[in-house]
Amino acid sequence: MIVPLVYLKQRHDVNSLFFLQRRQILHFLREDRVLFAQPLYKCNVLFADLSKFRHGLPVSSIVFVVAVRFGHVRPYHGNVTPRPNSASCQNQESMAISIGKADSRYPLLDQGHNLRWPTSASEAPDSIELCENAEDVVSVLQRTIDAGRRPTIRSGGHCYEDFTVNNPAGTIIDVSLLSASRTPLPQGAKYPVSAGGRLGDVYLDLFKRFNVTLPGGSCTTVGAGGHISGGGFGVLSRLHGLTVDWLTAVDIVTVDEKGKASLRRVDKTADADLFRACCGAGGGNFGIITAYFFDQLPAPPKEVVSGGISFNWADMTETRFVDIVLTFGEYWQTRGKDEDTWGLFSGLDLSHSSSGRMGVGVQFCNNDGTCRDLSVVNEFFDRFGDCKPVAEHIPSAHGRVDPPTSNLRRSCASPHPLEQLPWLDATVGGGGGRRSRAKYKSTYMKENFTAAEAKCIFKHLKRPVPGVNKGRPLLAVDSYGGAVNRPALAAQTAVPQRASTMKLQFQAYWNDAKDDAGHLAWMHDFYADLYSGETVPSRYAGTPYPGKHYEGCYINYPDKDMLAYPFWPQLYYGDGDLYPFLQNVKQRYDPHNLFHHAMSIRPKQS
Amino acid sequence: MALTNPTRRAFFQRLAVSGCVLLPTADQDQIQYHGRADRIEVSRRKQKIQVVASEHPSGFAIDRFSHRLFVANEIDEYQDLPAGSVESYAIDPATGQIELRDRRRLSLSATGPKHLAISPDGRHLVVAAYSGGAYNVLPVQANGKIGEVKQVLKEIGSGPHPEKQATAHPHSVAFHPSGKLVVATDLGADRISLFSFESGRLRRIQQIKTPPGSGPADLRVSNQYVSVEYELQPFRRRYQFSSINGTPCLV
Repeated sequence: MIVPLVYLKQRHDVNSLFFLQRRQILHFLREDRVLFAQPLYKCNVLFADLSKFRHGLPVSSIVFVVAVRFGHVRPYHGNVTPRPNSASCQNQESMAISIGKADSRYPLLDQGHNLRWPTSASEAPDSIELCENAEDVVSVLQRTIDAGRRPTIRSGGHCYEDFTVNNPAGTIIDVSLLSASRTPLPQGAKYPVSAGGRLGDVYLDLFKRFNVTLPGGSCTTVGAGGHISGGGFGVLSRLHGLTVDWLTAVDIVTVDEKGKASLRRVDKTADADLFRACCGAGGGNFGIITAYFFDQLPAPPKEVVSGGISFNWADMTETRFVDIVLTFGEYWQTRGKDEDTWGLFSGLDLSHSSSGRMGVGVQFCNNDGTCRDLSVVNEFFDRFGDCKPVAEHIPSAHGRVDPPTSNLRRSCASPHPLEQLPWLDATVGGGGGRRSRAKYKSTYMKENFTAAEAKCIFKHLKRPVPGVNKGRPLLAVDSYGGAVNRPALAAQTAVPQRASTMKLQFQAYWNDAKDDAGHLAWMHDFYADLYSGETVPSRYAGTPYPGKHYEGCYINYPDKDMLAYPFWPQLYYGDGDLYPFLQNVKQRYDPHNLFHHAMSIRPKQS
Repeated sequence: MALTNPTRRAFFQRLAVSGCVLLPTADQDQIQYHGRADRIEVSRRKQKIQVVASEHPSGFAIDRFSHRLFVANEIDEYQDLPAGSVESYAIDPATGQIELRDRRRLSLSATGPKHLAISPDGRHLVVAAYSGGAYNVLPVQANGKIGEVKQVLKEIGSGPHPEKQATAHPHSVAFHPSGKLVVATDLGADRISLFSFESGRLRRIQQIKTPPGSGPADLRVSNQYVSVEYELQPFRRRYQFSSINGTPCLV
C-alpha cells in the first residue's frame, strides 16, 4: 500500500505545525522507504510504501495534506500523480540558503579570493548552501551526501588552491553566515569563535566583548574556519604562539560509517584524536568545523609600533642583496630567540626587481603590551645600517596591506622611520588584498639563508616573469619562532614545525588568465632552483624537506606542485608519526573519504 | 607513502587478467581485447595482432557504431592526484587494431575504476570507481575526445565482509538499451542501484539491498531483464524491469 506523507517547506511552518518531524523524514529517506516526492503548493508529499514499515507508521505521520493558505490542516482526498524525484523532497529539508546556478548571486559566490578557480565551467559546483547555524550544516551535509554529491567547505574563501571551488556538480557548504554568539559555550570555555567569522570581525568581537585576542593572522578578510584549522599563524605568534596552541574545543560535523551526519564537540578528552587533528590539519579533511572554543586567550597589546625600511632595486648589487637577506636571517637565528624580542614581528618583502623597491616591515610591542622601550626594534634596524636603506617609504609588517591614514598614528622618537598606533588599527586597519588570480608556495626555515640561497633569490628576482609585462611577484620572509617553538606543542597539535625561525611565502598576483603560465612557470622554476642546492639531499631535491636547514611547508599556504613528490605529506606534516596518526583519524571519522581535496589526508590503503 | 606502495593483495589482483571484451567482425570472426597489467592485447583467431601499452586496463566498453574502445585504468593516482583514469581508442574496422585518442583523469577520490559503460548514443561514459566508491559521468565528443567529469555520484555503504566490504565499492555499471536507465552493482554495500539518465546526469530511482555479504558484481542488462552475479556468495539473480505509477523499477 502506497501512502502519501506530508511535510512543509518553510521554517515557520515546521515550527508551528505538527506532523512529520525532520528527524523522521531523514530516517525515512535513509531507510529507503520513500518512493517519490511531489511538491504541492507549500508542502511536499512523500510517497512511501507502507508495507516497508515494519512497525507501522508513527502516529504523527498519518496521512495529511496541509492547506497552508487556510491556516489549518485537513485530510487529503485529491489525486496526485507521483513522480520520481526523491531529490526534490530533500531539497526542502534544510533551512540553509541555497544558491543554484540560476541565482543572480551565484556568479559572485561560486568564486573565492583566488580567481583561478573554478578552473572551468565544468569544475563549478551545482549549488552553494549558505548555512546559518550548526543544524543547517548537519542537514545540508546529510542532504548532499544522500544525493551522492561531493561536499566542499568554505568560510572566508581565501583557500590558495582549488580545494573548495573546483567541485564539479557538487555542493559548496558555506559557513560564513554562522554566528558564534548563538553557539552555546561548553563548560569552562569563555571565548567562542565561529568558523564563519572573518578575522577582522573576530578580533573586534573578542576585543569588545572580552578584551582578548587571537595571536592570529594579518589578513582581516580571511575566515576563521580555515585559518585556525590550519594552525593560525600571525603577527602576534612570536609573542603568544599559534592560535591552535590556545584552542580548547571544536564543534565539528562528521559523517559516520552508516552515512549519518552529526555534530560533535571534541576536546582533549572527548574524541581527543580528532581534536588534535583539527589543531593544524583540520582543513577539509575530517568534517565541517562550525565553532572554536577557548578557555583562555591573550590580552591584546595596548599599542604597537609599526614601520620599516626600504631598499631601492635600481642600485641593488648582488653583494648588498645577500647582505640584507643574511642580516635578516641571522637575527632570527640568534638574537630573535631571546624572550625580550618575542614581541617583534618582521617581514622581509623581497619584491621582484621590476617593482622598484623591497623592504623590511615590523610590528613591535614589549612583552607587556606597551611601547615604553623601543631598544629591541631600534637594535634590529641598526643591523641594516650598512645596507643603505632609504627612509621615505614605510612598508608595513605585512606588506600586502596598505596602512590606512589615521591621526592616531604618531612618529616615534627613534632614528628609524617608525610610527606608534593603537593595536586595533594595526590589526584590523588593513584587508586581505583584492580578489585576483594568484599562486603561492611556502617554506619553514630553521637556520639563516646560505649565501648561495641569497644569490639564487637575487637571480630569480632579477629575472623577468616569462611572457608577462607587469609581473611583480614577491617572496615574503616572515619572522617565526618565539612562543611558537615550544617543542611539547608539536605532540598536542597537528603543527609539527616548532623549530623554525623564518617562514617564507612565495606570492604572485595577476588578473589576466593569459598570464597564468608565465607566473606559474616563474615561481615553479624559482622554487625548484632554490631547493636544489647543497642544503637539500638529492632525493628531496626541489623541496624544503624537513631536516637540519628546513622544516617543510605550511598547509595553509598549500601548493599542488608538491603533489609531484610522493613524500608531499611529510613536507606539510613532518616525517614523524603525525601523518600516520592523521590517516588513522581520517579512517575513524571519515571512513568514506567524503571530505577530500587534492591535498587532503589520503585514506590508508587496505 | 601509502599510495605509491600498493599492498600485496592489490598487487596480485592487478597482475591477473583484469578485463576482456570481444568485438564481432563482419566475417563471423571475433576480435579480442585483453587487459594485462601494463598493456592491452588485441588478438584474432587466438593470434596476437597488436599490443598497446596501457596502465592497468581493467574495464572495457565498445561503441560499435563509432568504432571506439573505452578503457578504465584501475589506478589510484594519475597526474599526481588521487584518481583513476579512462582512455578512448579508435578501432580500425578492417583489422580491429586500436589507436589511443584520449586519456582523461577521473574526479578526485574516484580511484581504482574497474568497469565502465558507454551510453547507447555514444555520448556519455559512466565509470564505476571501485576503490573510491563513486560513479563518474564523462561526456564523449564525436572525435573520441573525452570531456571533463560532468558528475560525481558518491556511494556510502558497507557489508559484513571485513576486507572487501569496509566501504562502498561500485563494481559494474550498464545502460538499459533505451539509454534512459543505468543499472549498477555495489560489491561493498551489497546493493543494486537503478538510476535514471537524463542530460548526462545520473539520478537515483531505486536501491535494492542484496543479502548481507553477497557482493553483487557482474551485470548483464537486456531490454527486459537484469542478471546479477554475486562475487562473495555463489549465486546469481535475475530482475525484471517494471514500473510503479510510471516510474521505472526493478522487481
